Amino acid sequence: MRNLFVLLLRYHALILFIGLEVISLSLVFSKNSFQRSAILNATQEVVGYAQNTFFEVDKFLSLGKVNDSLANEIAQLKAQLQGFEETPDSAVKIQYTIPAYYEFIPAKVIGNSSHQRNNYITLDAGAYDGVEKNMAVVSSKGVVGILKGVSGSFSSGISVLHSDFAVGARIKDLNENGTLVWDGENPEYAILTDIPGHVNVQANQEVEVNAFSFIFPEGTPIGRVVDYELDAGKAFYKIRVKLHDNFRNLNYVYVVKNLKIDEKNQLESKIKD
Amino acid sequence: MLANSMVVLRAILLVVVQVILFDRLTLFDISRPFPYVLALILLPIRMPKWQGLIIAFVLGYVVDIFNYSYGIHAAACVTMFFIRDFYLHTILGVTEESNGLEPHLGTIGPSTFLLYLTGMVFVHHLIVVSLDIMSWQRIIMILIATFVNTLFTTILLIIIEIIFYYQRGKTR
Repeated sequence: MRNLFVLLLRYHALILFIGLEVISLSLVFSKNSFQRSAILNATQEVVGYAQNTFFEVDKFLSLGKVNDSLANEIAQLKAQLQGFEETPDSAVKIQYTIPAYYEFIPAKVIGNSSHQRNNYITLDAGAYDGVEKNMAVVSSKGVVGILKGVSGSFSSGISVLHSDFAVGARIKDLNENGTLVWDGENPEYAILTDIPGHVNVQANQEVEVNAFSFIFPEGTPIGRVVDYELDAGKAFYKIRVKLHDNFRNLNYVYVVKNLKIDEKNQLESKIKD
Repeated sequence: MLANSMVVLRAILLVVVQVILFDRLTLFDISRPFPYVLALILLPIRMPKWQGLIIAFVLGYVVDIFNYSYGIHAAACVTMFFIRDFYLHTILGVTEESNGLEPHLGTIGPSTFLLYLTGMVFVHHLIVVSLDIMSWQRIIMILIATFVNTLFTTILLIIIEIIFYYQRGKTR
């Protein structure tokens, strides 16, 4: 027994080293996201507050760019509005209401990275604003990410630039469904897979969210086809997509709240029984 | 006591600067510098190893929280501190005279200091980049990112060292 204590005392540094290393590596390799989202939730308020403070400086410095993007958005909306005004008065007006599937909650991006293998975004909207876990984040240009942790007034989640991110996507003109992922190479490009090799893919075709995704609204733009390759013997294309969003400076985004998601989940769980 | 509080204050300051400024500095889209490791590199020579290991773990973990990287920096910092004494004494041959002093340009000599700094930063960055990318297929990218990153951080740390510590080391 005494020898054991002597041994422990002599090698205490090595034992401590191994212990700390096991703790940190188990955090790195833990694939179950419970631990991660537990940490996200616990540290969210502090990190969010700090990032919000730094963001104030960033915000001031990027006011010009924000103005430009807002002006562009207004111009687009005006163009859309004109289409409505030009409908002839004589036409029979059919009163109908589009079922509101989605609600958009505006938010500011206060934390964001684009150069790690797995990138995260932090928003300044939280549970008080109606934000919940697993909601989608979009900007006026396209998809941004999915929220994984929510606290009172902040929320954070994975961006498109994350190895766990995948969204059902289709090529607009061809109506072919595939899956969009990020390969970790360049923050401007993502990879569209599962498009069968017989379809006529061409550069500059638009890629958007398909109808299978329930958290992203159907038709949310993603990007544009840049180039594609079909390896010999493979049945599916590997298509490089230039993302519309510039993940190096995201400013204002919308959290997408699906109003019918509970109904859908109930229905699906009923079928499973 | 004063020396200890200086160590803690320096660590806090470096982490704050890391989170505010250096986490947003990207070089060639590959990597970014991690000058917060200076807080570990400048810990007194031959300080009790368990203290250093715990400081390294806490420091790395705080940076992890702000980067959402879960344990990557903690693992790198702990490893770096564990091999530090071996590197300083066995490989670089720093003598027992400097025990208890902080390793600076003025205390262990310019060439030894540069080798020490570069080696420590390289080990730390190699672990951080490998754990971040974690793929054998992209080993080339890991190596490039590590070298670029090490160079960037080392240059920054030499500048910091010269600005804040060089004069003091000379007069000692």
